[in-house]
Amino acid sequence: MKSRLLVILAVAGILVSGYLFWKGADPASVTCSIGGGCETVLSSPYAKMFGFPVAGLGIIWYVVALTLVWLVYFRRVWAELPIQIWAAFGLAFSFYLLYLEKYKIGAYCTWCLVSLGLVILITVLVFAKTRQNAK
Amino acid sequence: MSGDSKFFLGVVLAAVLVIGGFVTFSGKDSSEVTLGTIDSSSGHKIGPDSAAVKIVEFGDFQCPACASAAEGFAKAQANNADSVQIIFRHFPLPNHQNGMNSSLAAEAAGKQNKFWPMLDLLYINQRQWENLDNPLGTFENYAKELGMDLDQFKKDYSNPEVKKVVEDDRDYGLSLKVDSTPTFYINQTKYTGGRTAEAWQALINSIKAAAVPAN
Repeated sequence: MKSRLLVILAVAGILVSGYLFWKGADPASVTCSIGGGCETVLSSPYAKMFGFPVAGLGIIWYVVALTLVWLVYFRRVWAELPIQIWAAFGLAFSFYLLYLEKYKIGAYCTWCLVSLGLVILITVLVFAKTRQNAK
Repeated sequence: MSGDSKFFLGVVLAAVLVIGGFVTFSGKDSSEVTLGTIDSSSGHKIGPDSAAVKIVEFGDFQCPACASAAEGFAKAQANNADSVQIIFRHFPLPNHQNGMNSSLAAEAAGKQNKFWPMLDLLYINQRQWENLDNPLGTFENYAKELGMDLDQFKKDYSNPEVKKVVEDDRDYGLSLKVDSTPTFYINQTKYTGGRTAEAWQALINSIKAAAVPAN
């Protein structure tokens, strides 16, 4: 159950960050809008890190997370530690992005918040103790 | 293959199909037709009144998207100096703390015929003043750089009539349902977001071609 949920969450994350990546790359949507929103966040100088779109980093994070889910929960190649480290790193980074939205950009992007929610759920799941370890 | 593996591959495949479908079928056309004509008589202008193509821009000096759009837009006008007129209307966004203040600075500069050079300075130096509690000192430096009468600039900056010009522009934008910047109107068609000089040129060419009556 846990492994299937993780697959769905990671794939949803790829779709959300993929959408944000596509939207950020479309010049027509690089605007500032009343009340902020995704356009404002995506057109802010913080939408890129080291010259690379943050949404692109999001896609990479979710793809790696999905790969880890496959290796840890489906193939059982590794124990949970690698995915727990990856999830904790993703969670810290997502909260840093939330900080940027609140204090630096002054606007929130709904889809970025959805992504934060997905990362929180993934982190909770990979740290949750499974009742039957063998199953 | 186990049931779990089938599930994993099934979800991934479904996602690939969703992404593929989205990329294939999403249109990128950002234009939208507005009812009624757009007033191009007031606002700050570059280019002759006789220009065949009049582009009304609603902009906010604190908007990074407007700053990055400005260069390509200005270049396109310069390359079509006789046939394109740009008309700037203020649209300071309420979520930008210095949106209104920067519009006041530009409008005050306009009183001394320095609107466009001030626009350039505001955009180029946006990060210097965007988060200041009181940006007037910084704006005064720009006014000084442009050789303006500083006392007059300060008077105009706090003149309610100058503020009214900005508010009227914004209200006009709101009446057209402008909700983001930069928003451009060419005739009755609305375009949002920036474009490269080349993309502007292609758009201007297509408008000119459409304006020529067919034989």
